[in-house]
Amino acid sequence: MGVAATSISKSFPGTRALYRVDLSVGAGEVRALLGANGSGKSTLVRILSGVYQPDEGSLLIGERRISALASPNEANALGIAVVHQESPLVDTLTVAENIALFRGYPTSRGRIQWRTLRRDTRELLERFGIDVDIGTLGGLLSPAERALVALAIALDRVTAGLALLILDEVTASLPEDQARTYLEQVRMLAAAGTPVLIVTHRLSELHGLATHVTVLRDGIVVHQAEAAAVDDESLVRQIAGVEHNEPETKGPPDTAQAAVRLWVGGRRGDDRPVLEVEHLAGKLIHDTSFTLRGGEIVGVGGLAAGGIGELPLLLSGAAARRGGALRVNGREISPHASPRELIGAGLALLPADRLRGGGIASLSMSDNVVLPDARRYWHKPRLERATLQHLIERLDVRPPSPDALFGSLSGGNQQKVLLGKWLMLGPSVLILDDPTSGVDPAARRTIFSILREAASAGLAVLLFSTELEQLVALCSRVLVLRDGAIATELAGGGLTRESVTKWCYA
Amino acid sequence: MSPSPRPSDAHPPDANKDRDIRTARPVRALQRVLSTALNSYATVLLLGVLVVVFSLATPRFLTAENWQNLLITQAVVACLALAAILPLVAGEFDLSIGYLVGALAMLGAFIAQAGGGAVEVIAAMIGGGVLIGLVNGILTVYFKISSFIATLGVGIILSGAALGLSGGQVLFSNIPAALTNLGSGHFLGIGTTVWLALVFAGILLYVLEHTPFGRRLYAVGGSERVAFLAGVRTGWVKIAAFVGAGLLVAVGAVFALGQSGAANPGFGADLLLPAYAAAFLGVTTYRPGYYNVPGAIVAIVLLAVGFNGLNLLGAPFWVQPIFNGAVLLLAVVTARAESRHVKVG
Repeated sequence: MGVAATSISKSFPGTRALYRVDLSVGAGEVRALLGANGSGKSTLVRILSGVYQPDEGSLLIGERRISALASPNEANALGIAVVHQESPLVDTLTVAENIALFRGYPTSRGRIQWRTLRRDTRELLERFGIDVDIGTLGGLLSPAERALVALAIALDRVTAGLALLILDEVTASLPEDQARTYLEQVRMLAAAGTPVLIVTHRLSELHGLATHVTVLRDGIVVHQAEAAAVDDESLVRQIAGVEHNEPETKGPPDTAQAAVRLWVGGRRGDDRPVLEVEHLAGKLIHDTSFTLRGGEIVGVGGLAAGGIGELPLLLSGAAARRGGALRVNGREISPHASPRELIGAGLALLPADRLRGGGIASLSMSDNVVLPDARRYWHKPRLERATLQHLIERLDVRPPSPDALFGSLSGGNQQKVLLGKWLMLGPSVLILDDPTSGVDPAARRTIFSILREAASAGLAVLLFSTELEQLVALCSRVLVLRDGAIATELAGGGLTRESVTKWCYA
Repeated sequence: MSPSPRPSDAHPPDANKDRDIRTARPVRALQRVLSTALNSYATVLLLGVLVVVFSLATPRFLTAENWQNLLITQAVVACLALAAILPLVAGEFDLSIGYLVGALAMLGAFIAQAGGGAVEVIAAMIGGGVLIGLVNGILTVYFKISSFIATLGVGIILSGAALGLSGGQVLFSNIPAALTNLGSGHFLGIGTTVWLALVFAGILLYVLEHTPFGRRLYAVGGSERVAFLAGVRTGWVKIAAFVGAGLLVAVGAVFALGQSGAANPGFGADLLLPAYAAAFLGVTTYRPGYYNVPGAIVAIVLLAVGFNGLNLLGAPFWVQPIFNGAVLLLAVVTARAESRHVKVG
């Protein structure tokens, strides 16, 4: 089995999404499909899954050559299974009921056969080696379990032989440890002969998994190779389409850019820490202490179970503190302080979930940026325009229109806008919670270079990331969080990908 | 996120080579203008069409007297529609506004009957409206009751309170002259209450679109969590929205008492749905996809003109609700067909 797409072209009014794209995935192959946001990846996936029909080209599915898949149902019937980033699970239904929504409830005279349902569900999950309690409510599953159940649902929809499994940025919303569990499952499916097409922004997770790589840029295949033959650095160049780009290391930022920097805060005169955390306690966090000085970029790594999701919320006033002390710029913060008070004290948080915590999809880019400081822009439309123009230029936001709805931007551009929103407020401390999830490599570069620039001007950055590589590349020291407390601090020569991994998982 | 980019976003790279596309451009521009007009001003167009049709159909439609009557009956509904918009923008419902306008009118008449003057009557009505708004806000924010349920409960209690104050009677004695003069007064041929309702609409429009409070209100309605994390005091913003709604309902109650010179224990409840219909219909106009003041005002005039015209043409009494409901559904469906970004409700 397997799928080959030949010379696929697809245009939308005003843009050409794909131009003569060839792509094939054979039995036992895992092909990674890479590209920046807007490169045509999603369009190609939608063509392979029957959502769009190509203008030109043909598809070879197994032995059948067809010009297009008419619908997602036809794609399923021909053996193509698609898993999307958002798991299609209802929080208030059990795993068994969620699965039954897709495959139908077994009934007898209109009455649901609960026992049959439970047995069938258990069989289905066992068939794909997925270990999840079928009586658990969807909302109580861990992210990896949700993703695995979604995988089972997708595989189950394919009735004939499996011709292709498409994973469309499935791991983007999973923490790295959870993604690992998930990808292990995928690796086993691939080893059993299932052709897999994996779309992702995280290059690191492809090591040992992908056998082939295809890079799309502006709708054209710019690179096609065996996975072993290329390194990450050259892949990023292919994706971004820039030959000479600054490498992702700790270098001084471009001084010419620093003249018009986004961060409007200033360096403090004394050398006191800007953030002091002492014996902080919450639900999972029980004893965390550290300090942060201006100009530092400090990383925090660890697993979800260790409280890495909770710490940013505790620090920013979004979750209630149960104990310990917190000082920002030497100012004592009360345990009941709201985000408003912490922003006032000089601490800002870029939350993890862009659309639920970061920005408001239904409002414009401009409304989102001025939200924390609306009073400053009252009756100053020219100041607002100028601010937005500055932000758009410095962060290369596309489309460059302040009136564009936040929800209509790509993930990378949304994150750039949110970064600008907080930097323009001039905080002393900026906490970023997983800022690169679902962000394409080119946008990541921009975000990192802006962060380095702001830090060199005096901003203290606390970076939470589930991508350990990022922590090592960007931070001067990394705190590893385990069981609600800081297990170790890695810096200098001791700060390597291996040491961080070891402390996180071992 | 939306799979097909909008035509204005980008031009095809080889557009200059393609003559067909070049010649088609003016036509496309025209299409774009038409589609914007249909998108944002469909109700205005419909209003224009109705005015022309009714003017041709009956000579009694386009007379000063008819328009005076037509507009003055809408002043109270307009206040209630404005009151509905404030919590809607913040993502909440206030279902108490219908009962509240009846209860406040009854409170005013009760105080007047007991010998209160215009100042006492108006102060009590405004104070009552603000107080009930505060109660609605506190129930929603601090007791975390869904505003749908909280305001329904408050509304039902108010309907009982209004009945109690009335003693089952229509109260009409000793209504202060200042109030009745306000209700029957005219300026430039149009009722004073209509002018005042427009003034309040203008104030609300300004507050919603040109003040930090208004932007925060839209932000809270868009995503309460995001607004909270951005340092907005979301609880205060919501309470303020409910209090503002109570205030606007009180204004509507003053108008109602002045216009009719009496308070009827059954008055108010049936104004709830027309007010919400106007607020929802307004979402299709001016700023499509968002609750907005100009849209609601156009909607109120549209519904009033439709009713008035059908009435003059001799349509039976039960046609009005059918017309109102049909226009609401039609407008929202057309707007959706034109733009998938429109979200209602």
